[in-house]
Amino acid sequence: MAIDIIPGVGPQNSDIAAAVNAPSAATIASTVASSVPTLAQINTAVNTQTNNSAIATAVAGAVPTLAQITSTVQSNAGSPFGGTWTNLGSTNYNTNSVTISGLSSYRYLRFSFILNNGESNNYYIRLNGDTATNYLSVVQSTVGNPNSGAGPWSGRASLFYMSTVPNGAGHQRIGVLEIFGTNSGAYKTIAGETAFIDSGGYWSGRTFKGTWINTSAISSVTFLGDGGSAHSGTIWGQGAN
Amino acid sequence: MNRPNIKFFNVETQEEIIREMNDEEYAQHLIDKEAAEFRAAEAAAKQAEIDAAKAAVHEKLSELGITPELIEVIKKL
Repeated sequence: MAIDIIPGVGPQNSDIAAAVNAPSAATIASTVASSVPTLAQINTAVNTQTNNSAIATAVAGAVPTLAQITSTVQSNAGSPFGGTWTNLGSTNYNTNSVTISGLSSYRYLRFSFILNNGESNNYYIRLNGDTATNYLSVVQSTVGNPNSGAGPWSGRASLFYMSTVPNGAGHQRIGVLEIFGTNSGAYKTIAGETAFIDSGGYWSGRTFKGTWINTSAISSVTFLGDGGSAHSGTIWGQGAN
Repeated sequence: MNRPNIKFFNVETQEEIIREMNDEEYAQHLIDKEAAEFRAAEAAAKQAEIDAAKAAVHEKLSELGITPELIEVIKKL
């Protein structure tokens, strides 16, 4: 209770009370509310910070994509001792020859092929388009007459790799061809095997080996039919270092 | 007359091109064709030689009374 010290003189109780009167709780609450940001305002401010998008951009640029990871894994597959394998792709063809180029960076090349049925011809390989007599080859039959198709053939203008495919429904000739030391400064070694199933359902095959008497790096491989005749099939390629 | 088609596939670019042979390629094609015909003729001549030699042997065996049927029986012994 206020006590008037000197009635009528000096500040009265009411004056003192007015001077020292603290703001009411409601006033305080209102002042606080207007000066402190709401939770929604805080969230908005945080979410629109440009730092977040900058961070996201930086992260996206540093982390490889799934496609990049998959490509790297595929390239390195099958090389537990190091080195790299590269899938060169595949091509279907129905022409007198098919030339596969862009090969000079590999130390080893492998081609897998299927020749379509009805092809009644022999097939040959040329390297780097070389038509000189720089090829030596040996072909050995693995079934039936062991002398069938045997070489060696030296001084040929192309390397034998596949013989006649029977002309009949369902017949296809398959094969794998390997070339070693393709970017070395030495002669190139070629080896392969082809096979087909005859009309009686029996497997028949040939192995072949050869040499290209040339020390240039291999940049292209041409597959062609005998006498430049047309043939059709599919070739898959792989390269390794 | 249209020249034969040939195909090129670049593994670096994965680009594929199919086109007719140019003059140089067509000239080589004719050389390859002639070489193939020569090989075929050579193989046919060699086979004819082998067939003739077989026929001569069979004739001689026949003169000795050894017929082809007897030869088959002997093979199975």
